[in-house]
Amino acid sequence: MSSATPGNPIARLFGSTIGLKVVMAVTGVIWVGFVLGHMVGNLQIFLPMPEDGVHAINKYAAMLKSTGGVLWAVRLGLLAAFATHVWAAITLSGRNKAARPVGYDRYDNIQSKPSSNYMLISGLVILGFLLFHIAHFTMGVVQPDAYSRHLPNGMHDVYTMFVLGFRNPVFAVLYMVSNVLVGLHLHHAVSSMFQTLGLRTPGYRGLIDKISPAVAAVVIVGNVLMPLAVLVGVIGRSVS
Amino acid sequence: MNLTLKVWRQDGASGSGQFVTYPANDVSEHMSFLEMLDVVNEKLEAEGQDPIAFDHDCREGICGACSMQINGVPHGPERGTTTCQLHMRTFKDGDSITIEPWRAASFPVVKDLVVDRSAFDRIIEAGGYVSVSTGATQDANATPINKADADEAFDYATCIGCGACVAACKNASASLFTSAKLSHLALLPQGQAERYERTAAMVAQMDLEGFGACTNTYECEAACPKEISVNAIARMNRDYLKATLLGR
Repeated sequence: MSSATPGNPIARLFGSTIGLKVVMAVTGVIWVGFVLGHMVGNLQIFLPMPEDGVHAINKYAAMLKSTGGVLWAVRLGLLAAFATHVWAAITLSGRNKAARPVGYDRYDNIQSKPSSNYMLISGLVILGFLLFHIAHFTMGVVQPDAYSRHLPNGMHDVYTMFVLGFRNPVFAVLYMVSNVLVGLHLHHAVSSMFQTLGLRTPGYRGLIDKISPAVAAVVIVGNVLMPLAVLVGVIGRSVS
Repeated sequence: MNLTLKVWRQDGASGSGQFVTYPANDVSEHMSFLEMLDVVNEKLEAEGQDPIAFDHDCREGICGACSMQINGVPHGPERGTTTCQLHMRTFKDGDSITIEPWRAASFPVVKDLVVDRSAFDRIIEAGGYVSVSTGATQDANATPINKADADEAFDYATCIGCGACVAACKNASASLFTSAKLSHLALLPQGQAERYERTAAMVAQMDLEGFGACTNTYECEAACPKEISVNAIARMNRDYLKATLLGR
């Protein structure tokens, strides 16, 4: 038996199928954390307007912006994680397709979940949605008028931008559908990460397999409620 | 019962193949799937035609030779059953059955339903053994082994290397096979000395053979005629990480 391959451990990891899956799991968990944190931050849209007339989400946005360098470090870290995740996915997908050049005439699924069989498709749709989302709410190029609103104190009026954005049924539906796909992606991803990292041990298998659907449900419900609430007029009726 | 078989016929490794439809009449429900094919082949031979080539040996579910995709599932519709142990009572009169070889770049078709699975042998050669001299037979209780570990190791050791896991996986990954072979040694004291070297070497060979990556759909676990658990894959991943990152 030959001893372990020479070279540095990280290079070895990037050169193997298991290693690339580990890379996907680690970059994925960073994004699961971001998706949940981003959602919780945005759910402040449902808080009542405070007496000072400055909505909680506007204060939250100003707080994030005030961190300056930290905000950019987080953004660059997320970008690096995302790019690495996509690169590993495409590399593995090419390898997987090459592993079966001739397909079956009939191929039946026995127990695999549909979410696990469409990860590349759901992932690519999420990539497209993410680019649109950044153009829409971070860069403000989709709805420049809504993006340019500011409060009398000079604060960026994120609340109004949010409401004007989702009052448009096309955007609201786009966000809702995209977030359902994010949920379906996570429906497989979260438990899968534990398996890839070797943490889905017999004793915890049952528990770990419940985490994925739970995270998926939280992400779908939380992120669909926001555009839906604006669309049906539950929040933001005062905005004009 | 009378059946219609849609069988993949391929003349040699380099030849192109196609599906050919054959009637299988007066099939007894007590026949095994392979016996049913034997009857079809006897008729083909009597008519001067080339019989359908398929792998088989023990015909009692322990050798791992039989290998065919039956109606889209390795070894057919019965869970935990090899093709040779699959009985025709699983099917109904008038059924049409699609029979294909395992499909994987690492399992090239030799002829019809026969594929070359020597890639598995090379994974074993890379480290699926314990390279110590065992010496004289020692007392049975000299090395105490926890009952749960012994049972789990045995479950993994039941792998017959048929390749159904590769056939069922959408990525043609050999992770269940490789991890079963690794896990049955990793759970026993005799396997400890070379545990991490073995993991690194067998995973490297698995990748070198061109099998796909495991994307944790667990289709292999459902298709395995020995019902080997994907817990083995988690253990392989864990040991591989230790071997790679910690240089164990």
